[in-house]
Amino acid sequence: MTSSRLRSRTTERTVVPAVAADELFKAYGDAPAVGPIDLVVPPGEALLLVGHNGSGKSTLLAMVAGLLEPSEGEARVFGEPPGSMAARAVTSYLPDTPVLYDDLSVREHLQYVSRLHGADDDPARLDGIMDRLGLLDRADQLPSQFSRGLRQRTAIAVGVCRPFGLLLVDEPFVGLDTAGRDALVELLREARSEGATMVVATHDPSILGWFDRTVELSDGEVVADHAPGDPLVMDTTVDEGDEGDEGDEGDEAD
Amino acid sequence: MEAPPPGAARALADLRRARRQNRMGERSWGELAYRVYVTALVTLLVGSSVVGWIGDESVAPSAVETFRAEAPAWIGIAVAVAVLLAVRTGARGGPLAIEAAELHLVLMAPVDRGAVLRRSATRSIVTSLGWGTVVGALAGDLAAQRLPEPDLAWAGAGALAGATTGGLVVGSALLLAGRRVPPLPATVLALVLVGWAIADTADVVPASPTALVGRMVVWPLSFAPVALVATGVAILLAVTGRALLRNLSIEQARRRSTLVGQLRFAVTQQDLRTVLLLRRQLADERSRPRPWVRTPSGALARRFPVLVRDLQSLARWPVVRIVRVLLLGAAVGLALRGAASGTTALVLVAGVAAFVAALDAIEPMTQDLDHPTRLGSYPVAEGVILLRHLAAPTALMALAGLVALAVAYLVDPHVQVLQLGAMVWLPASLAAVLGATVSVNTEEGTSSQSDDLIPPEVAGPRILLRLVIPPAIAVVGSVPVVVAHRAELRGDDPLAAAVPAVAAVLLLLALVAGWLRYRGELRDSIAAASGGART
Repeated sequence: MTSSRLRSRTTERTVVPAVAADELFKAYGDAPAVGPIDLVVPPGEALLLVGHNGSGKSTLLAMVAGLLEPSEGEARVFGEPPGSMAARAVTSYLPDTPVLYDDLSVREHLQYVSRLHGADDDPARLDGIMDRLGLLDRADQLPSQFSRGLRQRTAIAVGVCRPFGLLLVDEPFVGLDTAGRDALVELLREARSEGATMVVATHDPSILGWFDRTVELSDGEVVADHAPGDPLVMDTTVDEGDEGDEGDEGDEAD
Repeated sequence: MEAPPPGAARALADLRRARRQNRMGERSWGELAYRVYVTALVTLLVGSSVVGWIGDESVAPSAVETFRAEAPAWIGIAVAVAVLLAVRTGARGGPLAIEAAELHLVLMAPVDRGAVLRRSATRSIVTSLGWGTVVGALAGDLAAQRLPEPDLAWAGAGALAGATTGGLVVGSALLLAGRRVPPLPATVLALVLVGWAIADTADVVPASPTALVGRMVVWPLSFAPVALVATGVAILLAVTGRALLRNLSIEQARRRSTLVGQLRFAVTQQDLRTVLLLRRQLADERSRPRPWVRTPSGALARRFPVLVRDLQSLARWPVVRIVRVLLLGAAVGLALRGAASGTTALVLVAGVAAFVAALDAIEPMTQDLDHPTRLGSYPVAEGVILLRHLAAPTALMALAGLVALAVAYLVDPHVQVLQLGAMVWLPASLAAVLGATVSVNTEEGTSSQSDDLIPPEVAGPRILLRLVIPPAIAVVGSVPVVVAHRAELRGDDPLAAAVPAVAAVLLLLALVAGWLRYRGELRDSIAAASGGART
């Protein structure tokens, strides 16, 4: 019995899983993209999702976030259907491409997203987040005028400024420089220490060390589920410019 | 958790206000009002000038009676087809195009999605009603040139019918999107409506529901309050559709937001090719993996590789594209029939419909143009390959032309329709293909470095010409129909009068073909000359 199965069984007895996928399957036309997948992520766990381009990482994350609908099976977020009001309240999703308004400053983004989620928009708190991501000097500028990396930092700030119990992150390091990368890792670790569950999809193996568990996808299916200390062989020869594998979905969908 | 967090609604209102202020920050209200004023004035002037310029002769009393009796059913077909298109859009999550940031940051927040989406829906409804009203009023004004009763009555009836159609279209799309009705049953239902409307023209079934809009159009001749039922249905659909948006598929909305964003950008760049490709993606229109028929191979393929490549592409057309081209062919037939009986403006409708169909027909050529490096690598002049690409699309358009001819004859079963149609058939098909070809070839050259040297005073009219000339070429192909009608009015032989017109059209098309053939060489010569001048 693998450690993950043991963990799942234990979790079922005690608490509602943060993420539960039951025969979760997604296809575009006749082309399967993900699954069927069974996956249980207990609350507070930090799970790393790895796999090649087109392996289904981004599609899986988007289904859990409620942005894509499963073709078959179902997913639950803290027992609620993804995309439901309750699930939206606890799920923060950082897509691989920053999605921001063209006509709001960084500060306005943070203020309004915080308030939409019922959090306070205390300037000191928001300034602190922007400061950690090196955005404080640009707080009143429009992200539409930023570089890719700065936009990515803004998207991260928007993703973490609101309360969340589940953080879904898709290819978080694309476009980030070393400082941005360090800031993000620090924010992720902090969120984890505060009890948040996180699922991070990446090609980058350098952050493997502090994750509780690594799930490897290939052709949309789970091919490996590793606990800490398990040997994990990752092919890291993917191109640097890769920005997630959901582009495959776009092709199929279109 | 079923209720949004406290303060979310207020935050949403503040978000809207802040965005509006930021957008308006760089503009003054005075400037905005001036722009609206100028746009409205120009639209009004151009619209009324065109209508006045066309000024066709009044129709005979017997024709007025025929129009009163038959027009509602024919207009019903047009309305049913519009509803069919709307239903297909709605079944794919349209017509709303939600901004990507709005989707990710607001719709994925614990807020009432229905409330957020209703704002977008209201905008969509107002836009649709507005366009319907304007188009309907202009069409009514145009009809008033030939029909009895005051202009205002026709324009008013047209405006109300247009607004009703706009409401039916946007309402049915919103309702289907909100209720997540799958495309197949929705399309089947709409096709039944279209079939009913078509059968209505032959008086084999009771009046179709969409013919009610047609009865509204002929109000100046025969007032029938029952037509207001259509307006009631439109209001009901729009109100219900707007109210039931809470369940809109986020997956479809996300897909649309990406594609529509690109589509808007392509429109601002006047990039018709990209617009066409994105529109196909929005409609989920893909080539068939298996061709309908086996295309020639062996010696024929070696001797005519471009033609065979084109046939391979056309043989993979999806059903929806085939139906669209056939419907456009039918629209061309109806419009030319109207032009031949004196409504000159319909020749523009025929030309534009043929142009749109031809944009589909030249798909194989545009695939080559999408890969300029490959096109340039062939050991044959680019212009020669372009000309070889004309054969298959022209043959296809000729088939659509046969549909046009058949429809025109069905409406007006006189041998003269067939005679005139036979004369115009091939030139009009070729004109549509050449117009579409010029369109995609001029787009391809839009980003050339030489454009940077063009002063703005020249660049503006140049862009306008680039947009107007291609459909104008397609329209020219149908002009002999108008020439024939004018000759008939003078008491001359219409067919004899059409012959020189057809010859002139063919001459023009030969010039266009020549431009296509030698355009590359001309461009290279100009580039070499300007390069030499700089050095």
